[in-house]
Amino acid sequence: MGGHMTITFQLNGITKNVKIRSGDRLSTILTQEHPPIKSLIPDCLSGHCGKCLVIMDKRLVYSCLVPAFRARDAEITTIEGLSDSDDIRDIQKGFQEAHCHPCNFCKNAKTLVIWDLLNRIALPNESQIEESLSVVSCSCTDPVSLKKAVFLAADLKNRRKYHRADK
Amino acid sequence: MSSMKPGEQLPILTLLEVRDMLFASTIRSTVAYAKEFSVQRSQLPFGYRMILPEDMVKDGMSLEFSDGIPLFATDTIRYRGEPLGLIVGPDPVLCDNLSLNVKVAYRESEPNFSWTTFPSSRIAARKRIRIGKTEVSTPKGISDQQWETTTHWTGSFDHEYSEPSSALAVWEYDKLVIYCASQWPNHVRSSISEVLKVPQKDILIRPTDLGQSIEGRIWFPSLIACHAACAARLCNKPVKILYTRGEDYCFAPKQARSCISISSLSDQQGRLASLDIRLVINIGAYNPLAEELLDHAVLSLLGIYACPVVSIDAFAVQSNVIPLGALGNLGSIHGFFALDAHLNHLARKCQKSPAEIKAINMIAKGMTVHGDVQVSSVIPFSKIQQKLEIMADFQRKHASYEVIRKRDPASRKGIIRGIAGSFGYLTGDAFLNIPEKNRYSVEVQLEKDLTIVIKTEAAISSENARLMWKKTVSEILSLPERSIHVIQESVHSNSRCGPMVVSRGVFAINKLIERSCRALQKKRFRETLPLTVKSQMQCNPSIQWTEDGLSGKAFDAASWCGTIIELEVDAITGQVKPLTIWMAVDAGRIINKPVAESSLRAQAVNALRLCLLDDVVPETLDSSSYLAKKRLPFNEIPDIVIEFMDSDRTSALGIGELPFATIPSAYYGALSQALGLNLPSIPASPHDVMRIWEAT
Repeated sequence: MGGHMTITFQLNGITKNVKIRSGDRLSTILTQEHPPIKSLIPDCLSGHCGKCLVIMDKRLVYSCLVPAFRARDAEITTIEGLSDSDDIRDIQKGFQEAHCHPCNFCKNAKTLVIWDLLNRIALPNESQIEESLSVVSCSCTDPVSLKKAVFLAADLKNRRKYHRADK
Repeated sequence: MSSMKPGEQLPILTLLEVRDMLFASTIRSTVAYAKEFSVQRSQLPFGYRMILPEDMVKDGMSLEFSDGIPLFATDTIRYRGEPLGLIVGPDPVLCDNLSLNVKVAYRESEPNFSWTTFPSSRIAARKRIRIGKTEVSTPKGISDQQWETTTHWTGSFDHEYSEPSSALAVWEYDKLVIYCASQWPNHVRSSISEVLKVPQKDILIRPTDLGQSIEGRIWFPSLIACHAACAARLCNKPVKILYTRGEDYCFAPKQARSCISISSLSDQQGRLASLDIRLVINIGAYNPLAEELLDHAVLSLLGIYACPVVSIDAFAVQSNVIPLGALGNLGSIHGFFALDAHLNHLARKCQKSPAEIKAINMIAKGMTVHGDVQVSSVIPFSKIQQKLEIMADFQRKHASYEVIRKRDPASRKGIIRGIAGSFGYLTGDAFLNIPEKNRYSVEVQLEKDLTIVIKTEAAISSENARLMWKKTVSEILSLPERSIHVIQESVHSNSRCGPMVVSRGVFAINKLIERSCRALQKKRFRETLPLTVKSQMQCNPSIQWTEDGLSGKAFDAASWCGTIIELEVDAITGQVKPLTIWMAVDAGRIINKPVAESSLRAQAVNALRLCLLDDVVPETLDSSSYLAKKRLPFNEIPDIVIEFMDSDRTSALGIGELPFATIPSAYYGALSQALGLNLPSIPASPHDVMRIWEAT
């Protein structure tokens, strides 16, 4: 085992001082936080499954691939930090209206990916959606309803943003 | 005893932790076949313990997991990766490292497996069917015809589990509580009871989120749970086993491989006169459901085509690889694919379209087939076929692709297209041999605040199932869906729910919910709330095996599906790109159309994976295989168009596995048309396509 060090970072807007070991991954320290971040399921530890995605300094990253020390002074956001936002509610509504029901293993990751996509591109096209969602590897959902959910979420978000009345 | 409250989600086992919990890693064999071996006990760090079979024997436990399958290898090693023991300790990473470094001395033997000859000791199940006068090799009147023979292989596939195999065993007062994601929680309990030799009432199974399983989590979770339970008993502490992704990919069951040779004799119209089939399923080292797998494969081969003389010799054969078993629809995929591919071949020989050949041979209402099976319902083949042909503009496309392929040899250097259809079904006959496995129960409670709580011990594998059940309750009792909660209960004493296999389980529960709601409706304004209604049922298979084939009534509760696939092949790279999938489905009453469509699409994508991605070769799997695993990219998933047929049947029937029954054969047919030759196997990777094409 390597030596220990203490790092400071912002987790969902709260400053955290965490003691880490040199081999630790970001996913490890986040899931061992108090209270632990329950939205992450770091099971493959190789950036394949996408169930450990977090937003780190406004970028979507696989937390299992980020060495913990890289989180020093970083701003990290997980779905817990966004759960009360209108954007997330739009995405959830999009899922519901599109009859898209991701499993509990990938739902948080897919939500975060869509949140990130809609933050970057207000009206994504089909290939942009496909490219974004390909980072989460879970075949529980049918691709048509998943894409439909993103379109609906984008529509809801844009309507809200530009104060347009509902249909 | 319910462990959950309404609205609460099932826990995810990966994230579940309890106080003072230890972790267990599996010591595995590094050779595929050894008749003698010995595990060396070595000095372990403080707090770590090695558990070997002799420790369990000393403690009075049984070493047999199920039907002669060992919990840990004792005398013989049957596959590379077979569990030999456990390392238990507080740090999972250190446990993994220690288990990898355990020294084992082997007297290794050469693993062997052959599709053609195998010793009787390797046959796990066998089925011999003789229908009609099989001793007469060529029926009268068509003696000048020739036997047509095709051989088809099905590869091994991964189930893409939502989480790696895992189990957690915890002591709660005098009870052993097992957290486990299984399609068959009752089997977990009975297995642990047998291994620990304790009464079933002392074991409580708390379900965790199952995620996607596609029939891969029927019995294997019970084995992991037994390992965790043994360790918990010996260490007297909670023990969790959580496979790494790489370990799970290498050692969790995959779909069985099969080889099916079909020889047929037909008249000039293509009407089948005799079928001679040899089916071999490689089930790996063992599979407690070998007989069921074989039965379902044979049933799908007998299928919906009438043939007066049928001879089938079917074998489930053990080999020295990881356990191989079901993937969607139990063992039916193998049979549907091979039979459909053979009929495509016959159609080519008879210069007819595959649909014509199928229509000529299709069984019809009122017929007695497969020995003594009464066909008591109409097979909607023509209706579905007509619908599909219009949806896909099939006739025009099929004819043009044929013409282009035959007239323009240059097309072999560019992009070539093919289109083909297939027809399949899903019956309600899940477990034929042991009817008790088809038992389900449900409790529906109407609370004072007019919420409904549905409780079942059957595994709930998808959100779509929940939504469908909620819709059923909502329609009958006129209550909003948001006030309806579905809870998967812990499995405790007196419970006897069967496994949730093939989506028919979901519909069996739906039937029970309907029944309970009707009973609630009668009581609702007569008795005080809360009201509880319990329902249970035993779904007896509608057909039974006899000496001369089958007897009973068939297809009453079958759902039907036709699929057409259009695809293109890059003649330079061999890359296959499916363009569109059209599906027409007759599944009785559709309770929730968007949800049904979504389920079908999701499973269609999974079925397509079987055709497009490389198959898993269990002999070559190692820790890096998971990382090298190919996935079906989002942008390669074709459009999937689904139509539900109007049906006069009032009951809701299973649909989830229909894509597995039809997509592999439709894909195979379309690829055969594009290339102008028959490929012998699924999957057909670009490499396979080029190799076979160049060879011809």
